[in-house]
Amino acid sequence: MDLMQNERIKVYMDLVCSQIKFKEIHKNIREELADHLSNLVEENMEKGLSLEEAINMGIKQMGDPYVLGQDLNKIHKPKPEWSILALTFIFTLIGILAIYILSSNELIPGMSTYGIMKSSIIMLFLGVGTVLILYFFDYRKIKPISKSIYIITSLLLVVGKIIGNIYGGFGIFKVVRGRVMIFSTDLGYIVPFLYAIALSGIFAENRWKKDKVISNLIILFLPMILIITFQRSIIPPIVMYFAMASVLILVSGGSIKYILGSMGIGVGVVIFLVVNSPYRIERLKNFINPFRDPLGSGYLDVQLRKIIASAGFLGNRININSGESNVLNLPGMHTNYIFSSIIYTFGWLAGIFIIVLSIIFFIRLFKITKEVKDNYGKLLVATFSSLFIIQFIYNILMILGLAPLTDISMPFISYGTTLNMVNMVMIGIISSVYRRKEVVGEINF
Amino acid sequence: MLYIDSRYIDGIGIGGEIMKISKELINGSTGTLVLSLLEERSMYGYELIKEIDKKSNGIFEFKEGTLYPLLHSLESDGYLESYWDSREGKRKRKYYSITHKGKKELADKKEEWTIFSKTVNKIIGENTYGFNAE
Repeated sequence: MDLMQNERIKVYMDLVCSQIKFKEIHKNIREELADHLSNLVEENMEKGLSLEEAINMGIKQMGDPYVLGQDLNKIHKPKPEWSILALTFIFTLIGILAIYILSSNELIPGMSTYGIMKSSIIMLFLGVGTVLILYFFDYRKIKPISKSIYIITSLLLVVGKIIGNIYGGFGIFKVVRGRVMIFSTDLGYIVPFLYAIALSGIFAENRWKKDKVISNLIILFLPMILIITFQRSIIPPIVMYFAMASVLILVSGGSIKYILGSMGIGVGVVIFLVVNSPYRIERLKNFINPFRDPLGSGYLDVQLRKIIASAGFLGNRININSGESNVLNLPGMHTNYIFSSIIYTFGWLAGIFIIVLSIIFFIRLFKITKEVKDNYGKLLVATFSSLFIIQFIYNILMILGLAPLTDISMPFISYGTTLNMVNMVMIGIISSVYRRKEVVGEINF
Repeated sequence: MLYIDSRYIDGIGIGGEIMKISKELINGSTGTLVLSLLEERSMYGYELIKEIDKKSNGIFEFKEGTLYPLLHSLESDGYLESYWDSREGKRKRKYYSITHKGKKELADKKEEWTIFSKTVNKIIGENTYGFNAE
């Protein structure tokens, strides 16, 4: 018997819910109480009462709606995930401090200390604002447009490239140093994030059935093909996309077969890309043996290793103003290679500190993923976490000389407007999911 | 630790005229009762009330106003987890099951209870049966 539509029961539920401030949980509570009331009514009718009598009796049995509502309200007060927010803030501050020191030593060419500080601080405020707005925004509103996001992202890759090729930039598209930009924003960084949102929505309903294997494979691998075909800077988006898609398969319940299969394909793709590009082979060789061409293509590898090697436990902070500061006079020391600037300036202790913080950050992200009940929310947190984790780990390994150099920055710490904005949006959506972690099911529009 | 607001006890009714149990006695043990029932199998709220009624021969009577806040707080503390059973043509139903953390908590509580009840029995027992030689 479905009594959700019964007027008296509706009034009872309204009274209970009127006491519960967190509106998004109302639907779940109504459904649970409606099931209970329906059981009571059925039981009462079996005892020989009429429907109306049975309902009245049932409502009486339920007890005072205000007291029930107030008790539930205390339990369902949404709380922000402070540890993630605090870590994000600390990372950002570390970044601003490092950039300030680099800039005040004139190690960031083309930008004044005032200018770069101003833009860092504006970014910080924009980031806080973005997280705050997204925290209150119900993330489930994005789910219905998942497929559209998938299609638009794919089109962006294609159209951006074509328009970029013909006009060298047109309208919202631009090409800067071989990269397609939209609103002067690097597509390569946004694309894995946009696909993470889209695929979380698409895979929120269980798609791992036999008849959907082919379409799943197409959905998952088409972005890789598009990135390889239409992006100039391929490795960073491919590495990020690949990490994200593997986690998506794992969390959405795909079998180990798919994960191993996609890993095989992913590794195959990267090998293919490397073998097919003399530039990448060169990078790989420099990674394996940086001293084979120390003044040519291996220059950066060698210099970065020198910086790391000359860093003490507590850093060379004092020496930075002497002639030695030339060591840090390399491109990308405030962006991709900021971690090595930090290790040089503040020492290994600071490097270890950042690594420990990032491990705590990962553990918190795992915990949140586990706590979220809604499948879509879980997938969003899981895929975003994978994007953060791959960026941190790859960047750290790269600086320590354990992975080939590429354009993967350290989230929040590296200077970079687009990337940090994307990262802040992800933190905002994770906060939005966490706030509603107990809420299950579709949104009521 | 399992924390149960003392107000929840108001919801425990004492069944029939068989026996009177003071509220203070039940204080704190409602959560343990729920956890131990859910240790056997997953249940929904209504089923839990019926089960407690049956197992206690009607001596404990859980009220809805007690049960749901209790279930929700046990869940948000991580002792329970819930899932929705929404098969087609059937009413949506929320089931609760015990978590690993909940099982650990239950084991602690059981031990605490055993010691407590043994000790109380020893003292009361002596008094009741007059073994208290004076």
